[in-house]
Amino acid sequence: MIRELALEGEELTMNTQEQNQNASDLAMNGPITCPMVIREDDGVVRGAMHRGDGRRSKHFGFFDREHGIAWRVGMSVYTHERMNPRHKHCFDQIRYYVRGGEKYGRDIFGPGDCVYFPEGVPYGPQTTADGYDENVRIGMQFSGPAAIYYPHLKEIKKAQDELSQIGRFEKGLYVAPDGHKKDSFETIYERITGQEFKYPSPRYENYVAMHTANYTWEPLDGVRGVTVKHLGYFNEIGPNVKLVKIDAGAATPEGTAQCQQVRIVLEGDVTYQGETYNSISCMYFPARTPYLATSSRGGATLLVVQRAGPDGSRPPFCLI
Amino acid sequence: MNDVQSKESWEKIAMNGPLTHPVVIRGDQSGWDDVGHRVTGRKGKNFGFFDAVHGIGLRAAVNVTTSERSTPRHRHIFDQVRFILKGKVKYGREIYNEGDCIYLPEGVPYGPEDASVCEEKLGLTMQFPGPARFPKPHPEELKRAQKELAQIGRFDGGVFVWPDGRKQDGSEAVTEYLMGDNIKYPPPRYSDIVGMRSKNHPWQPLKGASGVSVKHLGYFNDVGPNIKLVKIEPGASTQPGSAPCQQVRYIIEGEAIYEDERYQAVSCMYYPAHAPYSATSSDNGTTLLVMQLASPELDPPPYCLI
Repeated sequence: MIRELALEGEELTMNTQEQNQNASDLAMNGPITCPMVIREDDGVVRGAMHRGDGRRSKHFGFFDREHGIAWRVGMSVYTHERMNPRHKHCFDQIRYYVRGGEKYGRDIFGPGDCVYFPEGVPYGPQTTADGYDENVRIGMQFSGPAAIYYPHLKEIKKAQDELSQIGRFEKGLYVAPDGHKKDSFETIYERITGQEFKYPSPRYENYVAMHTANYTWEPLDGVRGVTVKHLGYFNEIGPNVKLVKIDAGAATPEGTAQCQQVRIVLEGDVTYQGETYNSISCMYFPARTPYLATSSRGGATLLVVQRAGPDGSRPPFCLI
Repeated sequence: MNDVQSKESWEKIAMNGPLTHPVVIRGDQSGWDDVGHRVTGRKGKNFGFFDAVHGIGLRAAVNVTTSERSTPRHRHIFDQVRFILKGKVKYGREIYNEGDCIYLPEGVPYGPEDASVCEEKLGLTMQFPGPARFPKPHPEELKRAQKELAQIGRFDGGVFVWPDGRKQDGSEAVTEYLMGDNIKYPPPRYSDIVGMRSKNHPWQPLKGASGVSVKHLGYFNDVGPNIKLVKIEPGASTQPGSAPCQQVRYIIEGEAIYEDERYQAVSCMYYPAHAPYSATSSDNGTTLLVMQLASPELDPPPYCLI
């Protein structure tokens, strides 16, 4: 059972943050040269961004420009205040629903649904679904196959602050002083890069929603007590999206992968390098860097998302 | 394989087995027919591939669909992949064009299919057991069921109308007739069909095979389909090998050479799992649509073994 998310008190969380400054700083700014695990309490708290009110988020990481890493992983709570217009992005996204429901046009996604949003594919409008006070989801954003620059949160915040001095952000749009309206992210991106914003050609017709509850657990070759749900592998660079279940007392093997990996502890507890982490915690394994076994005392379920390494080396089909 | 007799026997083997080695079926041979229970607006050829003894049962076909064809919104107990070679088609609100590849997962409703958006569409269809492993019936079984059902009621615009006036999706009626039971659709793993615009995927070099490049369209489930386009430049060739998975390779453009025989688009190759296969080369260049599925023993396809 996923426990209630502690996103209510920014003040309380900031104290925790101070205690874990090093881990958060490294995850958000690098250097990221070894595997790291960020607890939910260590995440960086942010309020509403350029889409308006109705969102509280924690960011686990992971940014290190020097090593080619720019992968935003976080957890967000959305309420009915938040309504995003139909829009698209120049990057890829994965969303996994933990609680509540969210509506995209005619589709509603809820707990256990995992959605891949490919670059250049329009989606929405989106809002918390009727019948729910909020929806809670894990979100990941990263450069898609077009390899368009993915900005750091600090860059976005700075550009947003600057733009707010000139015009205003309103319901996901930026309204310039002359009244001209434009998607807020497009405006921010152009501010950061100084270049005209261009969307990549969409490779997929729509987002791809995977109802993970309807997949079967498949044994992981040679690893007793570990099973996998293969949700989907998209493009030549990924994302390769899987759920991994570790039975009580079992462990995934240690290893080295040519790809980058994010592993979110969705349920239960895992032990990594002698430390125990509960849901929701987040692991990041850089490409070509040895990682240790991940075990579980009481059993755990992980969402594993793999992408090509910064050198373009693609994920194998099933290396856990 | 040069004489008509050999060609016919290959076609018989492709449809009935034994499929213990690779087979290649030309699209320009006999066997084009009005196919299926949807009655109007489609003519096609089944390349194969069925061999009950070896656990093989997938339908690989090429179809010409005309504008009068329409099918109601429905779903299946098996997986499908479709690829549009010429023309376009509309599923629900979406229009799919030349070069679009569509994965239609088991249990996921789609359509209505509206072919009126163009006069004629040339497309490829592959139907095969999905992750729930419902067997894909042989086309002869489907034909028999359709014929027998037509004695009881009537097929009308993709729908079967029972004597009491009750209407049922044509495919569902045929499947239930063969199963002798009500269909229990597998729970859908995906919320919708997945449309892949292959023209927007870039060609990536294939490691170890100079002059061969790949578009990685998508790999779904633990059993596949793993769907790719493969381009062989003039004078280049893919490697011989053996794969743990089943493979269907459609020649969709140009001409391919396999074991000294030349095959034009559209032809279709089937490689059984674990069976050695030869290199495929091309003098003038060719493009293949490659679909890989788990073996009958459920060994999954590797990510990129061409």
